[in-house]
Amino acid sequence: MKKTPLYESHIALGAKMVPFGGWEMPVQYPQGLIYEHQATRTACGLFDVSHMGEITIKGKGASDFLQAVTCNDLRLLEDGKAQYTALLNKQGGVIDDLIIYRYASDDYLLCVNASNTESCVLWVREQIKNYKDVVYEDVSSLWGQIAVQGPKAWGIINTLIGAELGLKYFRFKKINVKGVECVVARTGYTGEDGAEIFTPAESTAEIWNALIKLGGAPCGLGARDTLRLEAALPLHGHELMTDRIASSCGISWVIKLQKENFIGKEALVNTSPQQAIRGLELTAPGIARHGDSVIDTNTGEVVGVVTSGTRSPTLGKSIALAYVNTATKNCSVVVRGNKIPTAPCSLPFYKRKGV
Amino acid sequence: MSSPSDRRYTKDHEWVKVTGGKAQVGISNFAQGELGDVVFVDLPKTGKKVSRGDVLCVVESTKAASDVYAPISGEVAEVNATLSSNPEKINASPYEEGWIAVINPSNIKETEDLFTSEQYDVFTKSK
Repeated sequence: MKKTPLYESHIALGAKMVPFGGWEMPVQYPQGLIYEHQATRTACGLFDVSHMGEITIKGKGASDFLQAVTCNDLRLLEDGKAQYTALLNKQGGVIDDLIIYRYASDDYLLCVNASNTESCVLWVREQIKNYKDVVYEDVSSLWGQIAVQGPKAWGIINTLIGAELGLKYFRFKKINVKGVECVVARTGYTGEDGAEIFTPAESTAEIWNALIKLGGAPCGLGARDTLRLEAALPLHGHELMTDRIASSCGISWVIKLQKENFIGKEALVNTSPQQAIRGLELTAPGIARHGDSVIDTNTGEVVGVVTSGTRSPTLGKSIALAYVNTATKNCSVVVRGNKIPTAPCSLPFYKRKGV
Repeated sequence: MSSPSDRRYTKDHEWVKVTGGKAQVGISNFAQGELGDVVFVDLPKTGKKVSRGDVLCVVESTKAASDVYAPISGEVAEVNATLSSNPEKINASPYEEGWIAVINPSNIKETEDLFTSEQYDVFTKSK
């Protein structure tokens, strides 16, 4: 089991550790998931995301290579800008969703999911063979990463660096933090404003501790999941899958079919998915979980499957994301044999004020 | 913290407290700590017949659903309806306000081979 640079800090804070994607990660700290969730919604949550994978893509043909292997349009990127996108297989399934950071037209950083780092590296290694001038490197072990999220996140970050950073959404910058060169990006996975800070592995703990001193609340994977679900941000292995066509996964906004060509495009053009992700609110007591069946309320026929579900701490409701036949109107979820009716919910379930 | 000595415990972390021939059941402090914030309790129906080890009900934390097993056989005589609106009582008071159900036991002797509080504390220390 791999450990992040913050492992010792988590133990010292009394975190409950669990295996996740080959890593030993904190699922929650002593004050509990709901406390951490609310701290992020109302003040500032800190998340150890050092387990995420980082891959550099460099060389003269780097832009062409990335344009061909991702579904979003890389031409929308410029230096210092980040883009959410996905790597698709030939069948249009999602190998992983990722963020691409552009330092220069020949210098990119890819941030991929921890549990998919290996498959992403293998995929990149295979596809890059056709591009003589492009090289990749898995630099995951060199980087720690801390997500600082919530309405007070930027106040804390600005205090930490001693300057008003003023980054626009999805921009990033190399910044000297306490004498250490870090990369600060205005991105996140909670539905709140904030940043993700890439730190050299050996300096991660120092910066983490400084952020805690400034008022950030350490949050585990549990709160990370409830926060992202309220914000309807998809998670690979749940909404995003290698055997589900990307156009059905709720990430259509990053699929640019007008792009000349990219891996998976042909499948996307030729497939109209029978099911798509939709948001549901359970209207009777119960919580739907990943894998629960979705049935047509009128006919009882199975018409889909729940991908994620929880009791939403912010909304006080039971919410779920599910693949459901596009033709189905009213559906129910089957939780341990009980049929629980649902109402459709527009996504995201939660949107912060002022956006 | 040592567990209350007025009841018995299972290896699955339920407790059972017998008074006046009735068995009150719930989950231990250790169990609530492992579960995390409880957000929903799928309470059993009164009249439900259970054998020891059957699923009595399901307790859901924000993260996952966990089965609660009947520590004793019998018929569910009463449920703690407060948990429908205040499931967090299981976290705050697992041994008192967070009780789950009262069972009319069919064989009271079943409690004899369950852990005593001392045995249970030793058992959870090894976890």
